[in-house]
Amino acid sequence: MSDFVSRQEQTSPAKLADMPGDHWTEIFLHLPPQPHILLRVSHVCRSWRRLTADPGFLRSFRARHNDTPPLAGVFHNICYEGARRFTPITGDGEDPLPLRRGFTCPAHWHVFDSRHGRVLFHALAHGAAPPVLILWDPVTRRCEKIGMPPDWAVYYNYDGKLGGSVVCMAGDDADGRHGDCRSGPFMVVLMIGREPRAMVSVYSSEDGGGWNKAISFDGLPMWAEVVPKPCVVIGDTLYQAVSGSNTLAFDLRSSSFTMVPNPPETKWMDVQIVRVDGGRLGLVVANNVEFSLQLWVWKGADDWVQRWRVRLDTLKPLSATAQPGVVDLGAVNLIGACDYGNAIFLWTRLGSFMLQLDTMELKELSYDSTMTSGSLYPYESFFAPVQVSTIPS
Amino acid sequence: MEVDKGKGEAEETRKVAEADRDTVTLKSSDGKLFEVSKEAAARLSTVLAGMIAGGSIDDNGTDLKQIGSEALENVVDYCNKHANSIPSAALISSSISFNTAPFKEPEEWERKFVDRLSHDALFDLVEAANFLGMERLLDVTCHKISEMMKGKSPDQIREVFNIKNDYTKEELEEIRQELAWAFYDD
Repeated sequence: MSDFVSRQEQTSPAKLADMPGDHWTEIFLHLPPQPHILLRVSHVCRSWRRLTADPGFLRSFRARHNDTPPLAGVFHNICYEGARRFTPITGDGEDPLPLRRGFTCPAHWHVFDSRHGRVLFHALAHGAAPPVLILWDPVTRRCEKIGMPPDWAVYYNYDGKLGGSVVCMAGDDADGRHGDCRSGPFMVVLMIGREPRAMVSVYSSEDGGGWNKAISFDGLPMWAEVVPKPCVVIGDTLYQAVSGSNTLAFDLRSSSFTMVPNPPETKWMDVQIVRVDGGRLGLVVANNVEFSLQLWVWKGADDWVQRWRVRLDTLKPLSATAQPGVVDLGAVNLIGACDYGNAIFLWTRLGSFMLQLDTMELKELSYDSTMTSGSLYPYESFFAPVQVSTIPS
Repeated sequence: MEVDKGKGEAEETRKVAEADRDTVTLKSSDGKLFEVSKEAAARLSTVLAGMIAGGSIDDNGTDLKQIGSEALENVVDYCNKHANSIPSAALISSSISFNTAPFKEPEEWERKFVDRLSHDALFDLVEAANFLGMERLLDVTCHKISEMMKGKSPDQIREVFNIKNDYTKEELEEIRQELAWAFYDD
């Protein structure tokens, strides 16, 4: 018997045999939402697997957690062969998970997006192989290739960096929650742009799947460039960061573009688009002169309201090291945002952190040496055990 | 209020119950009598509330044949402690659907209450709370048991709960593939 059980009392076998499945189900409903926890429980024995794979249980479990998929970890792009590309993030009070294996993929695969339980990779041209998009569902382990758009060649004429997103077509409910959409139809949106033109191609999985003709927009202002950071989708609108002082809005239904001017106070600052209040456009802006962050909430047209402003060196644990003469924190980079978790990621010279926007709690991400200072792509998903054919449901 | 009167004091208990209608007397499967505040019993247990309202409470001790004396003592203890703590509105609302309502974290006294229980007593209390329709007590006990699984590998969970691994080799091979890319650490 291991050390840790000998210090506790075990359940007596007779007691255990008496426990009806209903009670275990009740107990499992109290587990935290992070996928690795239900995963481990489902691996304990066959009857626990049956209980945790039950669709009714999974519905209740999600509802218990407000139908908001938990953050499991972040994907990142460190593109050398063998680099780990996923860092799990555990819940509060839990030890970091040992990373004995860790997810790796070919070095020429770049993570483009991670949204609604799907992960989108861009496999660059490699030897004789043409570039291709790869869509992966880590829970069902389904993987599909999507060819680049047929009119892909037009993109070669454009400067700028290509960005891509995968968007579920099911949309959000009135409270901004998304629900379980794993098998539903989806879109892939590719975007590139530098003043004056932005180009977009949209792939729809419906009707066997296919690309629409590329759509261009000649309204990018001077110096503006589409920043290849993950977009934010609110309702039918995809919001993409543009360098300078604007946000590019693309309506997925009407395929039309609008420029949303950012607050004038934030010109040329590093911006992270976020979804606030369940369905409002927000901008977290880093002011590196005063080492502060600001949250702005969009009220429509050019009406922005600043909700808060906070000096980063007043937040733990940065405050401890930010005393004069201790460490120069330098600049802060905004490197990603949770889709549903109301948190952003930031990078400082001291490491990468997750900032919870409601509580202003900073949590350092523990990671191995391969973590990047580039964008992080949060993977937010519940776990659902797959049915094993030999275990009756 | 000390509650376990034992068999010898049954007569006295009955007199007290008759004189003071603020309490009800409950009888465990092994015949022990326990006294609990009527108000707390009605508020915390849908089953006892129904019995009180329906007049099926026996002043000589309402038979609860499914509940042993140790579990019933804990139930009564919980009711009394609950009556003494300041009830928060969220705890006593019973109209919310049980499975999906967000769980309110145990209060300090509730945590202490379940922490001192042995595994077997805890499981007995889950069954008693379920039988008596005590949603909050069921929540608090289930939550405690779920916390015993936190941060543990499947092997460690099996040890804690004394569970046999009954997966076949092939099944184990199949399920080990799940999320293995990110999480498998067993």
